Amino acid sequence: MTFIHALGDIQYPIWIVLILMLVQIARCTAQLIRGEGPVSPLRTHSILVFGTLGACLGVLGTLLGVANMANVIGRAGGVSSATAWEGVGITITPSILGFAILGTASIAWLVLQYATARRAR
Amino acid sequence: MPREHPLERVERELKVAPRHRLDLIEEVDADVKALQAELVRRGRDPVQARRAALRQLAPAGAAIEKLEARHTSRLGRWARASAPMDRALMLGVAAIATLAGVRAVMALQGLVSLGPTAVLAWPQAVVIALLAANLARAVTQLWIHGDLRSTQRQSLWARQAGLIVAAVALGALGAAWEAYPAFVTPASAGWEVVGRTASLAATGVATAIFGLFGWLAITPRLIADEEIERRITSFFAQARPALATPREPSRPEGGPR
Repeated sequence: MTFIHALGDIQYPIWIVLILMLVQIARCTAQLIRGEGPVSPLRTHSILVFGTLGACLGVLGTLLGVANMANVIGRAGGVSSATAWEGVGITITPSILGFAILGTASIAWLVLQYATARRAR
Repeated sequence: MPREHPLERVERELKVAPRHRLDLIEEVDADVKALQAELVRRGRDPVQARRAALRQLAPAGAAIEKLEARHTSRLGRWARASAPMDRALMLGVAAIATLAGVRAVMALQGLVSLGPTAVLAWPQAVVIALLAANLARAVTQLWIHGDLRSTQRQSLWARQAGLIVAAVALGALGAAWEAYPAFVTPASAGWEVVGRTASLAATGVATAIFGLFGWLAITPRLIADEEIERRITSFFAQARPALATPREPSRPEGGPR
């Protein structure tokens, strides 16, 4: 199973959040480069909110995956430990993507905060 | 000596959207400058001409109410005119949000058979309702009344953030409560415990996502308002040295302080 397949249905909102976050980062960067006055703090903070949202969606995907997996295993009356661990590996995938988005967002937010403060000096 | 631009009072008192406030103060300022120039041409002292122009043209009292009425939507005017109806509207939104929260909890209980932790699902419904009510308040202020000042914005965001943290904490508490017996007596634990634990944690995270998405939905309007408010601030900052009048009459040097 590929990484994309393992993400399941929760991947669609996560991709949307990622695209919106990248658009917001691009807008803030463009505003800073063009020197059109200070970047709106709300716009910069919204990058972090998008990152948090991505992480929340990833965790939600994992939790729903775990709940589904537990139901299926419960109905099957038990599975081998190798199968159970494979299921755990798949359910963790959305969290990995979610936290990658949060990491990107926090780095972009820190860089933009630093650049805005430097420009204001 | 503390100085204030004479139109700052007008800007503070006007309860309309920031773009209308900026348009109005720019218009009034242009009129004041024109009248001041006219009075100076007639031989008046520039400072006296400025004061006379401001006295004549700066809106106050009924004029401000008339301007607000002109720049507020029909729904906003109606809500402002009948304060009890405004409150009824808010209560209606809160009631609908509460019902939605209760429905969400009942749907969760239908999906997963919760044990004693069901008691934590109900505070979660309250948190969902409060999140919806907080968002409804922000939306009403922004789109119906048109005026959401930065202090109000900050308190609304603080409430939203607090509720999001509460939702996650309730979800985590429910999950920990559900999982605790499995750690104490691992032999009795089955996969259904894992399912219930994950479902409870998922409820908290889903509530947080609802709160975050809601806030992000109103963020573009907040950014636009903030940028216009910055223009208003820079308008007053640029105009202050040339146009400000003293707030208090100056005292002679060496006089009582």
